[in-house]
Amino acid sequence: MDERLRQSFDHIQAGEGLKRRTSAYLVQQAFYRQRVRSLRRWALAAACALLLTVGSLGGWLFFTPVSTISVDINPSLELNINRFDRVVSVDGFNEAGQALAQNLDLRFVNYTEALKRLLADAEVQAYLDQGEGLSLLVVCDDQERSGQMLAQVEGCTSGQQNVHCHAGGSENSAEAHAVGLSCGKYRAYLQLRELDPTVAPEDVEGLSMREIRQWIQEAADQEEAPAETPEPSCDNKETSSEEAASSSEAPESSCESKAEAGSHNGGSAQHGQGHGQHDGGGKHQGKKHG
Amino acid sequence: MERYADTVWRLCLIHLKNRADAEDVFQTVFLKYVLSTAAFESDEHEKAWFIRVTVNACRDLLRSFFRSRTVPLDELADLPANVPEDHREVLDAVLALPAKYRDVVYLHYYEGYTAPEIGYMLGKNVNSVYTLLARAKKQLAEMLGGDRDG
Repeated sequence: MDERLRQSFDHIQAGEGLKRRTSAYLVQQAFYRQRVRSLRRWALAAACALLLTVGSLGGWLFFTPVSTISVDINPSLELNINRFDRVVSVDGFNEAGQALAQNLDLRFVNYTEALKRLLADAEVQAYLDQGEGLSLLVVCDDQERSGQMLAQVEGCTSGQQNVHCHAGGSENSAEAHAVGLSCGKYRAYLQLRELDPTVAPEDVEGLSMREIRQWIQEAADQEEAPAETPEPSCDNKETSSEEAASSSEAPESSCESKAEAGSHNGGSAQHGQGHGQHDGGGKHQGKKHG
Repeated sequence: MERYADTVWRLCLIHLKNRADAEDVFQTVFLKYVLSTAAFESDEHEKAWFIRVTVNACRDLLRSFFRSRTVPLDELADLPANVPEDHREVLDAVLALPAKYRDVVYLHYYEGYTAPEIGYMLGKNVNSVYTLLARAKKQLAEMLGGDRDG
């Protein structure tokens, strides 16, 4: 039976037609698969490129700050905010500011929430309770956005005393950062420099905003004093400085009345609501005047 | 293709009993071969690969959902027309066997593989192969009128 089986199976053979069709099929499949593979490779490359582009664009849109809120009390820091109103980075400009930026988790939260967290911080509250003035400067070149942000910032701080909200352009940001000051503090420094050209950025670096405001107030008083009432104590700045070195009370008392009348919000910026009251403490005079 | 075309074709036809399906599997097997990255140690190794792939492809086709609902179970074999009557009788007898017997009969009686080799190629136990061969031989003898010369 083995032989009969073998001979019988011998009759079953792959015909030439079958082989030809199979060869054609293989060529067609090879070509098709090569094309599919090539197309798939292109599609994959295109998808990767698209993904990369979308990712980069999204990342750029998200991580590029379009505005800044400079928060200055004694801790001095800046919240960099993207077009989606999220805080993308926080820069501290002094040790206290850096510590505050590290302690509070402000990244990627809405800037109003970030401000609420800042204002609720025990350290900031302690400064406010001591009568220190908090300056919030919205830095944005888009007027409409700037106005909206200022309104939001004012809304966040409406229940607080001694808070000054402003808005302005970013024209001085680079200079401010170059000298190691936040935009808010640098703005105050520029106001002071207008009144007292001898002041250097380092002179205001360590001062709180209340101290800088007092200095501005007193410098303004000293400038106005000769024209209105030529009092010797305000005429002679050097004398005032020398006196300040020995006793910080003397010049303050001599200019106090004018300090009440002076307005020093200054600059080209829009002014927000000013909750602060200049108490005329004048601590900075002993340290920095002259 | 020349070297293994007949082996693959016979296996396809014996397993599937249908020319159209056999041709589909035949082409699939050679496409798999073209696309395969397997490195063969010898011609025997390569032939064993063809047999294993063909049997598996036939099983896959028979298991496929589409075919199980479109092809009648009781199908007639599609044998070549020029087969002499006595050999046609033998082939009809082989094709009348259950599918599990047909592969082992072909591999043992025509290709000359031993039971362990068939077991290895088909993924079956050696004893099962012996049993299948014995039962197939018995059934074939009964169908072919008591020819017990093998």
